Amino acid sequence: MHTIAVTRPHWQTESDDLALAAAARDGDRSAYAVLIARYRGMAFAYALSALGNREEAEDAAQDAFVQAYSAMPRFDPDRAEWAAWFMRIVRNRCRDGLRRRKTRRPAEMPLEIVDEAPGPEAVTMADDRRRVLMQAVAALPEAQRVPLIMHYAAGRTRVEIAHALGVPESTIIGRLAGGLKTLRRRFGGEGLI
Amino acid sequence: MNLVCTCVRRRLAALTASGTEIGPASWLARHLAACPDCSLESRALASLAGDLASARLPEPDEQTFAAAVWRKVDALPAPIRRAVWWQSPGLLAAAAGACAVALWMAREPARVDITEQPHSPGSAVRAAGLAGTVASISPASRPKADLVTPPPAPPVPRVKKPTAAGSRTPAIPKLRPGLNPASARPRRMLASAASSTAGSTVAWSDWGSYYEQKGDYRSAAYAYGMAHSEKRDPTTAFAYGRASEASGDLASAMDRYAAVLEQDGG
Ligand SMILES: [Zn+2]
Repeated sequence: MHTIAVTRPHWQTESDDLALAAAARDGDRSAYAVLIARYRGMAFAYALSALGNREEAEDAAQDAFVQAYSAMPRFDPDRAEWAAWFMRIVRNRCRDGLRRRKTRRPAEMPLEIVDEAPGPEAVTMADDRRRVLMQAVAALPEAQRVPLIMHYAAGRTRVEIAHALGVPESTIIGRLAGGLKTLRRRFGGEGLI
Repeated sequence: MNLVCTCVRRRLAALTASGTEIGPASWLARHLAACPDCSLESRALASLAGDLASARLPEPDEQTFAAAVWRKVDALPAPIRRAVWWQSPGLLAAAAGACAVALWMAREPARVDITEQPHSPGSAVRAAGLAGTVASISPASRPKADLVTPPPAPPVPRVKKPTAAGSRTPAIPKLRPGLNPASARPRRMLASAASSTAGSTVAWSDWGSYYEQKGDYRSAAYAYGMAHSEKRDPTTAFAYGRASEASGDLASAMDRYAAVLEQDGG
């Protein structure tokens, strides 16, 4: 069992999760609905950054919840926190999704760039910039792409991402730094960034 | 670029990534103030981080998302959906107790027939290629199991194959008894000893075996899929592929067989 040396993030109230998971296992759908509402964003953020396709990501995140619901009797709270256990299912689901594809890497990340007071010209520039930047992000290795999108675009903290990916926070910082450096090298002389 | 600049450049990305503020009195701040190149690099990284932060993930609608999850849950094969409540330790213990008595009264060992496998034309070739891989998995590596019977005791030791009118049955090479989870499973269901902390719950792979023996390949594929997501090994991947193939889901079957051949169990 992999132990993660990180402090518990604010979004994760594990005792509460365990109570909800126990109730869901006994057939309480409203308890599981709370878990869905709580982890929907994290599951979708991971799936989208891994798969790069909104429909596939939504499908994978939903399937992970279905699988976790069915597998609830196998969940052992002594061995893993619910969130870590669930996110492992999400990761496996996305891995299966990637395996079925011919190309593992998305062509472009389907993210939206938020600009302040855009006029028609600004919108065009934002679109160009968005396209180039998202293509560059999509071209990053998965290990760098996923934390980069989850942190900057999805607003997840490094600790949350560490939990979601089952790695220490220091690893997430290293991957974020690696992704930034790669993007910086790619656009170094072009004045894009 | 001198040695100090190299050192600073290496730190800048990590500092940006960790969100660490550079103290105004630090040597790094003093260097950035004095070195235009490193200062430009620092601003470029901050700008890049800002651009990335201006991107927003589209969010799935909460109601639609939850409704889709429940729709999919309700579409599961009923026994698997029901497993959520009846696998709870209390109910399982009661059922296991009743079945243990029944087992003790009829403890004659079961004969297992491994000559028939669910298959489709062409599976013989794949099975022949995979047999070596599967046979190489040591029996000692399989989880220890104890004999606890879950509520619906599997009554059929012989594996049924899907009937396809007019299709000729190719010869299937025998896999080593004891290594093929579907064919070598005894009549009494095995429950994983690994889950003893929460009372014995039935392993997904055993469910897969059970449904496969009943000829319900769709449920078997689902159960093996669950087992596979919990523990990725070639044996489970192979069983998952076999059940998927028998249920007609050839795409998943090929995925699983490919995973076994890659020997990553994935
Ligand atoms: Zn310098």
